[in-house]
Amino acid sequence: MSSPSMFHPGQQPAAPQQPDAPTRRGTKSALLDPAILGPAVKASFTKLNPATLVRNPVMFLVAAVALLTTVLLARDLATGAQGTGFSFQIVLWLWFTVLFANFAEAVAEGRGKAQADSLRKTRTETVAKRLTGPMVARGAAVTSFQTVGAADLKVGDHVVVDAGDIIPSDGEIVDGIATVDESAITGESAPVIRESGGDRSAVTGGTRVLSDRIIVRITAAQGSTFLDRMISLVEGAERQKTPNEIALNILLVGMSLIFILAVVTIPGFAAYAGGTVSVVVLVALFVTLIPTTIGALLSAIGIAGMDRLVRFNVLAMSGRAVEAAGDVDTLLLDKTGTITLGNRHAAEFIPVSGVTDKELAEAAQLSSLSDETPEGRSIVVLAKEKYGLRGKDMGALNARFVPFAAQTRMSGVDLANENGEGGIQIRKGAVDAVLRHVTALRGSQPVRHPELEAITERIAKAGGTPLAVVRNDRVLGVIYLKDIVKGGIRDRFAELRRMGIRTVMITGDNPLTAAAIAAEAGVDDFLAQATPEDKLALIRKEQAEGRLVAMCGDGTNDAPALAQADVGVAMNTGTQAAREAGNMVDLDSDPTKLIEIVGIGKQLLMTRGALTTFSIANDVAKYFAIIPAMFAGLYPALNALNIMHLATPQSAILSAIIFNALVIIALIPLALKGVRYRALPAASLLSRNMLVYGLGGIIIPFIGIKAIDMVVTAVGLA
Amino acid sequence: MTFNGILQIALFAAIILVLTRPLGGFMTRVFNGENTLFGRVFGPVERGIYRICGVDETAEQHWLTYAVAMMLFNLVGALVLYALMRLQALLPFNPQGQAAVAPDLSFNTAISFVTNTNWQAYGGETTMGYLVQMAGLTVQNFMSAATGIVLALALVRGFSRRGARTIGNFWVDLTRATLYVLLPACVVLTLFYVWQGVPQNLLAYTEATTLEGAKQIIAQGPVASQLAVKMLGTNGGGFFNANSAHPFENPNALVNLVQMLSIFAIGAGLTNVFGRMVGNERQGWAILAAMGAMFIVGVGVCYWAESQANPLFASLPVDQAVSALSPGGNMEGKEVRFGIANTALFATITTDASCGAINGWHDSFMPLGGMVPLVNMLLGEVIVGGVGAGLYGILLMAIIAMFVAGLMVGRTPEYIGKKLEAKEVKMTVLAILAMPLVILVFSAISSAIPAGVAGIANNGPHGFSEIFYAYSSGAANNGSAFGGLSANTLWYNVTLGVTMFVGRFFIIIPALAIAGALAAKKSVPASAGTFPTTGPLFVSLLVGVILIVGGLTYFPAVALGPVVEHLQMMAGTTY
Amino acid sequence: MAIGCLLSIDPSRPESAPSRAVRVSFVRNIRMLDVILLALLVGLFGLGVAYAYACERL
Repeated sequence: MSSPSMFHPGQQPAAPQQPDAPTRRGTKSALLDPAILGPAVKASFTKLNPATLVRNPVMFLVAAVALLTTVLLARDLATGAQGTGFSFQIVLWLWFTVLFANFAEAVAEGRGKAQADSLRKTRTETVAKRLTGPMVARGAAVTSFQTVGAADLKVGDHVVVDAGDIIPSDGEIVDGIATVDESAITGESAPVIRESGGDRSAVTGGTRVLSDRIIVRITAAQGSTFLDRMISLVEGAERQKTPNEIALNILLVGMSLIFILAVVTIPGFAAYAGGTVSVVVLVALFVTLIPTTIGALLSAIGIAGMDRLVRFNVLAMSGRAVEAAGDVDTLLLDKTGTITLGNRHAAEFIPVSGVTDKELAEAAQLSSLSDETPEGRSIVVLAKEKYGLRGKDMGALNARFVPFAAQTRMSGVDLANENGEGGIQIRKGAVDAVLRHVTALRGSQPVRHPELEAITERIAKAGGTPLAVVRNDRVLGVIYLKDIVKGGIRDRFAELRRMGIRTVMITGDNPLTAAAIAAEAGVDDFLAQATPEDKLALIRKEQAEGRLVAMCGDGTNDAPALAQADVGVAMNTGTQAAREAGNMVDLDSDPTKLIEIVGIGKQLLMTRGALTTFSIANDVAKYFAIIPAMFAGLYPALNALNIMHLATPQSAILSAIIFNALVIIALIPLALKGVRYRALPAASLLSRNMLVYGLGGIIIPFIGIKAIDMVVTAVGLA
Repeated sequence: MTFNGILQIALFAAIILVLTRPLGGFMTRVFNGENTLFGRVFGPVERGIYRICGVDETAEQHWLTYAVAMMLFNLVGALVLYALMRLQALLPFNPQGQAAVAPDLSFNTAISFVTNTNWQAYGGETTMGYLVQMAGLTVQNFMSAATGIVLALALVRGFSRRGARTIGNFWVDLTRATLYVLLPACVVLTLFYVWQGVPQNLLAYTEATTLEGAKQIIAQGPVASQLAVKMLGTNGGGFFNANSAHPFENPNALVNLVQMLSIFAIGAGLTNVFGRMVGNERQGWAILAAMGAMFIVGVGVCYWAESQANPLFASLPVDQAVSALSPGGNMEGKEVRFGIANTALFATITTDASCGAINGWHDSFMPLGGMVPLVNMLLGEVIVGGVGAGLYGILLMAIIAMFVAGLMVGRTPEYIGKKLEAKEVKMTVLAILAMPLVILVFSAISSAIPAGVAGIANNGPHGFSEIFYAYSSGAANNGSAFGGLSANTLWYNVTLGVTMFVGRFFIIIPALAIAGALAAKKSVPASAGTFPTTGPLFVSLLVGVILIVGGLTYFPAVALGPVVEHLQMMAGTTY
Repeated sequence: MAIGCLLSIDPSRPESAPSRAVRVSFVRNIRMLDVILLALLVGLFGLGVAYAYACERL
């Protein structure tokens, strides 16, 4: 991490970690963590509460019929009826089915709870130093404040936070600059810079100031701070069903209703054939047919999806946003920091005629020796690598560094001759600025330099930035600064294109430069010389055409666009306004993460679809197990449907219901991890998933039920 | 199975494929209000109708208004039909002096013809006078067919419109469907049938003396005009009791072919209308491909099963072998004029398309052969299906298929650019629930109570199949009879009436609600992330979902009917 | 079964002339049945319209 003084306004701090290391937060193998499993087992029973169960209609139905058969079993036991051993086993497995579903949900929640607990530890009682006097001038000592509990702070209060203090609540720095340890929230131990004004003014309650003193205007009351929201989000306390989840639930309820009809009418058919079917067997058939597998795992999948984002250090403000991420059609990406490295590098020295390469390189090097910006350093490096020019001691040269100034838009060096007077001025800067400088030196008509302009245009077309170099009033040539497109980003965009997502690069560059970089990076489109209004207009246009748009941003002027976008990812380093406007916050402030967020959203939906397919496909085998068994007494000929050759009618029914229960447990890891997502066109994704979960869903239960039947028979359960 | 038989089936399929596009193009122009040849001829008639009825043809309707208009129109149709039957004895055009039709039968028949089911618990020539046949039944044949077409159209508009509040005008659609599509085609077909020997008169029945000296009454009447719309509108209600097995209602092989073609023609053409209206004809072809795949398998199984020799006859002196003079196989219940191939084909088409006309006796099919018509109906009449009904039926299945598939590709599910959300899923589920609700519940009750069991002609699983088939036929708005069941009882007339009503309107209404919801949405442009619904993968997915949903719903009932019967036949037991 | 058997699905209502007293009570019962069935018919359509409104609100 760079030291504070090295920051230049408008420059992003480098992304603090690799984007392909998603699991940093929390435990790595949380799936088998006994700390989670223990409470989960307990929760499986507490979740039997009907008020909780009713939120999951499919499992509620299972619990209802389990209760019914339990009552019937109790009656049979009381009257000493035959065959209670078989009924008892069925009843037992029915309850297991419900418990397994509860367990799946509890395990998913457990992972979030563990994270919430670790967050809560940081939210200790904090005291705040509330300013009582008037706001003091910048940099002046703060004189009067009173110490109050953080809970007593109101929105709009000003507090002073010194080095070592914990920031009492969310707020905006109104004065000062400080390094802040945000590890409590981001898990990242390197400190970050926060300063008043600009786009990095937001501070988060619960983080610690490491150096300097800042004055913060409180923007969130206790209970609604970022940390509070984060805790409730990872805990799943505010979890609401997402639109797709609601729609899927309706389908599952519909399927269950169809199976209610299919099962309750069987006694009528059996009566016609002159027989009866016991309630326990009907219930067994019903429970195996209704989509219990997906019903049991549905909420676990949703919780796990949010959890995957949190592990990825992205906080989604709603499950809806996660789902929307999977639907994204257009991705708006800022050029700087996302597509290109934040800094430009010198790639070439292009002298004008009459100047040698070396002459230009030397001048460029001299002008940059004390220039600590990445661009400046890259010039020194290029001069050394290409022309063998070693770094020189500025003191020995009697040189004085002229830093970059916004007025002149140039930097450079003044060299004194041996006498210490009347030296040489070397300047580098934007071409028009340099030409103006030359004009001023000559005191003449505006200087034009056709050759320089030609070089400039060529560089711009190639996507570079030209820096003209002059020694006194003599134009030497141009340093070609190149935007470095991030390694591998082209492949990422190709991947996105295969997924059907269009990428649009947003840049402040002129269209020529933008087009060149767009071509190099492989984005589908670009928006050059973009203002925040342009961004907003572009989003509106895409949405009007029916597309879903994702973007990320950090500045206050990004806020309208973030709010308008379907998926707006705000950088944690950004302003409070941006963080409020987005529906996700990236704690690592890494804009490339949008791509992973889209993947996580898709994975969430795919997992639901895959398990639904699996669940319904399973029914085929269950029918073949139970129907011949059910009517064995009435129509022995139906045993021809017993293609699995299950031992006895009882063992067949028992095996089906055991399989049905165990498959829930077996699929919990898949529900939590999500089905594997690959960037493929929809058709290939579907055929692959159909093969695995559709065809697999038909075949696996045949094998599973047969295997369980063999065990059940061997053990002598039925 | 003979080469000749397979060739005839192939010929049929080929002609339908050829007809689909021109018919689709024509109907699209008609329903978009574009100028057609008929438009110039019948335009004044159309405008005249609107003027008389006070319809503003430019005013479009919200789906709810559309639905209420449709319900009211059908209610009036049902009441008029009921009155015509009850008052038959007092009304003209009744040379045979047919008595008033009993109330329960009138109730059943009124619903039956309004819902495009044309389940007939009566024998036409012994029950209905010519006025009822012409002004009652034939009119409803037109109206129920037109209703089906316009409802499919409304759903298609749901897909093709963007951000719209309305889905069309019921009265305008109905008028156009009747005036430009059904009426002209039926006029042509009627003339063709008359030419081929189908009677078209208002005479009393002819009394003839046979060579043996026995007296025979030969029924006749305005047959050809009713026959045309009976097939084209997938109504299926025969003029005569024997339906299209009667020589007057199906005189020869050519008429048989034309009848079969007219069953599928509009339904197949509507898939093309769908494709054209949503802006990609391949969407329509994909739907037709799914239908076609299921049709081919169905007719294949049925033809194969009927071509098999009945194992129980093996020891009897029955010639079941294929020879130059005999197609072999199971000839029981088949017209010798049509033979096994054409009967199997007809049975498959008529149950695929919710027509319900028959040219053979489904009850006499082999268990597996008879299962094909049954399964066709249980799948929801989506294999081409009733005019319109088939299209909206299969689109509902496509919504389910795309919902699951959409999730599996990691996006909010969509079909034809429309996002499928809670509302659509809810309505689709409601629509899909309607059929099993009435089929299973009434079958279960009927097979358990004396009033129900009293009607069956055979014991054992075959008897159960008869009951199950009747309710399936009613709910699917097919109307074909498995036979054997004496359905003209108070119990069956009333419950089948309710079954037909639920099977029709409790699917139509949610389908219209979907149309309304979809029309209001904007359209999502397709991308590589969108699952293409024009390819073989979609077709197999759609077929898979139709089979799984239908299969899972009715597995126990089918197992206890035809399946167990087949297994027992193999073991040597019959009923 | 031959085609002739087709007519067996329609064992039409007993057409043999019932006695006058029977006929009178038959007619009266039928009037009652008419009312019930017409009410059922209208009721079904009413239910359909109500269902449509329910679908709109769902």
